[in-house]
Amino acid sequence: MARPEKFSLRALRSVRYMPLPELPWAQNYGAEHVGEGHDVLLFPAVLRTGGSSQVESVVEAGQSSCFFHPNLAASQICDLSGRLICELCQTEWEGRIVSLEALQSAGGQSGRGVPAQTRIRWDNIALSLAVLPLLLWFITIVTAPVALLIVIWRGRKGSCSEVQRSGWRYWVAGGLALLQITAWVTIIVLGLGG
Amino acid sequence: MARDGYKKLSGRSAFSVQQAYLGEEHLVVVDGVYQERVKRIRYADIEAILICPTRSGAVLSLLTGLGTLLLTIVALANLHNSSFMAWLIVAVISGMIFVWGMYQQGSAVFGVQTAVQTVILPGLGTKRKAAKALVQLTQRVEAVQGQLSAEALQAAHQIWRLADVAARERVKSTAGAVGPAGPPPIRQSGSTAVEASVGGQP
Repeated sequence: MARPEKFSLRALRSVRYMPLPELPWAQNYGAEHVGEGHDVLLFPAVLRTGGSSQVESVVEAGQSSCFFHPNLAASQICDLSGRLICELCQTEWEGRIVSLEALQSAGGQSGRGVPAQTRIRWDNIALSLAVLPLLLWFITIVTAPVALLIVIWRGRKGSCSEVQRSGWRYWVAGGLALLQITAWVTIIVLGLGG
Repeated sequence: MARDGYKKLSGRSAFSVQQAYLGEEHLVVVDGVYQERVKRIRYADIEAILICPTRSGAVLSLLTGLGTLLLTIVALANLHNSSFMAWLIVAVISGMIFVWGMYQQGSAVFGVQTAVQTVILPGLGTKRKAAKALVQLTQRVEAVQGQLSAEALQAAHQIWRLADVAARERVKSTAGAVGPAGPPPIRQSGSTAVEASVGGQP
């Protein structure tokens, strides 16, 4: 949703907007505009005007248009794909101007492009499979081996998270899964022996 | 424990699994339990930090404080009964929640605004955590952008005020150029262009 004014602040608990305060640090500001006071700290980026997209329709014959928006004037050449792109399509990546489409395509190539924005958390999946089924203990005969398989398959690669380092979830999931498998083996052996 | 280069800014809350980390060039917001979704906000793009105090913390503190008082009275009334320990335990738990709420100094909503979005960090839902995160995040942002001076902001306000006045003057002068009789009437039906647009024909 575009801001109604170029320089304004969005309230945190509603969709209303308030103008910038007179000072960079303002306490209990904005109640008369948005109904609730906010503590506001501003940074120089709030005054920046160059970042906002200024799109113009193609009005002159012969003027280049954007590859993805034929009715908008092209203002840059994508450093990845070489296509002419408008202000809406362009973004800065590693100091280069690229199009969002080329950036997403580059992300699909292994070893290149941007880091993945989503990751499967195999450690959390293994831990959940080892813990949650205990509520219905009889299904652990299936979930415990699955959890152990995940731990063996993915555990060697370490934490799945981009920001979390520790792989303790794998250890806990593996330990619990082993205990459950041992318990089932014991039950089955005793049952067969009995 | 965070990887090298990342420092934890906010953790999970009662109603959200979102976490935030301070990276070298980005504020990294991580969401999701089984599929981790990562959002990066460059420090250079952060325009403002907003903190909005809320009343839910005060309400919770009031309820737990009253609850502690009442439960303590009930526990003392059952001093010689077998249920005394149970009442006392519940009173102590209520009291601990009350003390924890007072320690956190109330509830708040913490948000980071950029040119395209405002990201709320639910893990900074208390005033104490929000104040601490404000200091940490401000250090990172100001290391990249520098501080915004009051003079620069007031100069910008002055420019906007002058621009508003000029825009209003332009509107007034444009309205005056229409004339006392008002704008020319819209062409009635019988005009090909008007019929085509009303009929929705290409």
